[in-house]
Amino acid sequence: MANLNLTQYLREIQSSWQSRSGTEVSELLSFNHPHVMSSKLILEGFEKSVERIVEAPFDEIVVLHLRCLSYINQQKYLEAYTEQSALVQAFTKLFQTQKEDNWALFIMYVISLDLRMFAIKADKELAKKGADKPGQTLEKAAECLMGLFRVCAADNRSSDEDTKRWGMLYLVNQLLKIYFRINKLHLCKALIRAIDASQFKDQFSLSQQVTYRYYVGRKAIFESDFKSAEKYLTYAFERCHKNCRANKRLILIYLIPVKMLLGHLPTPQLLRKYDLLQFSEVVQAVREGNLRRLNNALLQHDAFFIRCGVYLILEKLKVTTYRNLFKKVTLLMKTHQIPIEAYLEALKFMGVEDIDLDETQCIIANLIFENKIKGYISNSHNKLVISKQNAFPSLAAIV
Amino acid sequence: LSGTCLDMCPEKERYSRAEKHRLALYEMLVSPEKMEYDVDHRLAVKEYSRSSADQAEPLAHELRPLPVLQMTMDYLIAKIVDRCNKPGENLGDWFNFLWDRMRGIRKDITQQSLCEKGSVDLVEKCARFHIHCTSRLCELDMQDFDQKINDENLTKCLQTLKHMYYDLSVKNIYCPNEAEFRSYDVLLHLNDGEILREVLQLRSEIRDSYEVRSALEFVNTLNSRNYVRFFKLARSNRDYLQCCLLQRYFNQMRNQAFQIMVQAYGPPKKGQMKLFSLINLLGYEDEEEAAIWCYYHGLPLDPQKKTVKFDRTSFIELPEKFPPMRRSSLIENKRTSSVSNCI
Repeated sequence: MANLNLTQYLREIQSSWQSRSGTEVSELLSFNHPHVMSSKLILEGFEKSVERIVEAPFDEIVVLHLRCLSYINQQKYLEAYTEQSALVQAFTKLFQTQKEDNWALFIMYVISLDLRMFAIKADKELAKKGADKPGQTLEKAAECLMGLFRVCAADNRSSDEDTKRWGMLYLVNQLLKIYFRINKLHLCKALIRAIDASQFKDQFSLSQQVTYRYYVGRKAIFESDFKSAEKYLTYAFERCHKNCRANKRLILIYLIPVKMLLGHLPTPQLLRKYDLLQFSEVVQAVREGNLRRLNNALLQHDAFFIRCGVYLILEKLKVTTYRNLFKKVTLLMKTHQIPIEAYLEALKFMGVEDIDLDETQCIIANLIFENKIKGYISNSHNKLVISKQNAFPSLAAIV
Repeated sequence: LSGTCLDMCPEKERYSRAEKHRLALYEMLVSPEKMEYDVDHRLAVKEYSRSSADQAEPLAHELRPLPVLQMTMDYLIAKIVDRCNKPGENLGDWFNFLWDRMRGIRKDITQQSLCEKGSVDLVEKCARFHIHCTSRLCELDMQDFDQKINDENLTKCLQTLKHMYYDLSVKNIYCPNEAEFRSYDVLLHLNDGEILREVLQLRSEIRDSYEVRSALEFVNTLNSRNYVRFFKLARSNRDYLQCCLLQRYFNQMRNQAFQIMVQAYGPPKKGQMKLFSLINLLGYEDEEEAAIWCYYHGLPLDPQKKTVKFDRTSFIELPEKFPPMRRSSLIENKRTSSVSNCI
């Protein structure tokens, strides 16, 4: 394969195209396939050979692929991206003309993936030259993929076997990856709605479903919808193949904080199995209601947590820790009207520095506001008056 | 491209603007009442002009080299900046003049691709000016002062500085004020989840600097809706310019505080608080400002006892308009020297 010469390559791709062999064509257009290692493909005047051997309009796509390959060989990623983008657009037009036919979906998968990969490299190139807007190429790639998405989504007259709608989830996943990277999560909403409305929702391939649920789960975290996040991420974790350890670990990095916020702490065995011991100290601290320990735990691995984007969620565990601590205090006081000082003393005892009555009241007020304490603060008497029943509802029960 | 203009304003522009009656008050020879309209050649400062597609490349004699730019900035700071506290000064004109002329300085810097400690210092001064204005001019009408435009310019300055810091660091040159300006960047993005990750990319002496760490403390207070801590930290923070940037979050924190207090303080419908306590808690100027806020949020006040009742039924969570912004003594009291010194 690595020694493939141009004529052989062109003959092969033309014959695969003619026989509508989606997987074979996709391999010959993929940058993950060994044919890209061949040095004999980019010859002078290769366009003419392509035109000679490959039928129109597919020949345009092959030319663009080879041009892209030559730029990749020179490590010019911005130019490579431009060619790949033109390729995707040419394919989109072609794809649309194939009525009641979806054999070309395999090609679509491969060229979309490469488009995203080149966009990432192009943006890195631009960043080195001091570009103003990070992720601008990825944004353009997203627009390109949206064009493809629309072609797939609109194909609702064809039979279930031949419809292009089967390609929707793959593209949505590519787009979700892009939007997360360029931090434009609000653009995900429409795509998620489209998938939710699709009749094939539960019939797409398992790996695509896992990827999808992973991103939707993460989005739910951003919106503080922890119940939904738990649902999606649990699905992703459980259905993710056990050999894909790295992916399972990635899912856990987000699932663990969410479950902790809902009152479920991970076991040390789980953390050890997936090499996530960074969370152990955090878990211990929350269990004990120990704020100083929690602060130290967050500080100890702050770089890791920040890079993964879970630092701020873990910060929210402070609330869980306060709640656990205050529950203990309340039970000790054995009354329904507890002076705020009692909580202040508890916080000071737990090593919280620089805290006063006003701030203690604020913390309690926040807990009441989040329905974690049932009661009210009496300002005039400086007391927390709690409900006689279930003043500290279980965290999992709170919406 | 290297500038050769040795005056604060190129000669051609001085005459051209004088003829077209486009001089600023600060540049005029005598007051207009005396019916003479002429430029004071020593005081004219090059104005900012937008680049248009058909404009030719700038000519060397129209561009000011770094030492002249420094002299220009020194003049603006020494002679014009402190006028904002002169009674009767037209603040709209004051702001427009300084903003425009500083923008002109920045343009000369970019057109000559000046990237060295001297040009960094100039852009830093521009940024400080905008930060001071965001607080000092908050009471002005939109026609005289537009917060959004001021913010855009501030962001542009910080963007330029980030590029310059990077370009210089590649040559192992480090700017003395980088920590200060990275901390301003944090304070401008307290609501932005990405800010923590960006801070991680900074080199350790900047990340661990006092300025950046104190700015980061505010991220946590916003994230955990800890309004008490927010205003406590704002009060104890001694840095005037950092506090100027905190002002934009006052309304957000106050609104959140009200939402929480209405739910948490009781007994239901009877929970109340003294207006005086609110001043300390939420950084109001006086009881009047606190009272206005309560009014905008639909909370009943008792004028004799000077208390507000946290009535859930009348509470307006998000009023259509927030009460007008007031200059904050909490912030302005931190300015212990003249404005020109701060910049």
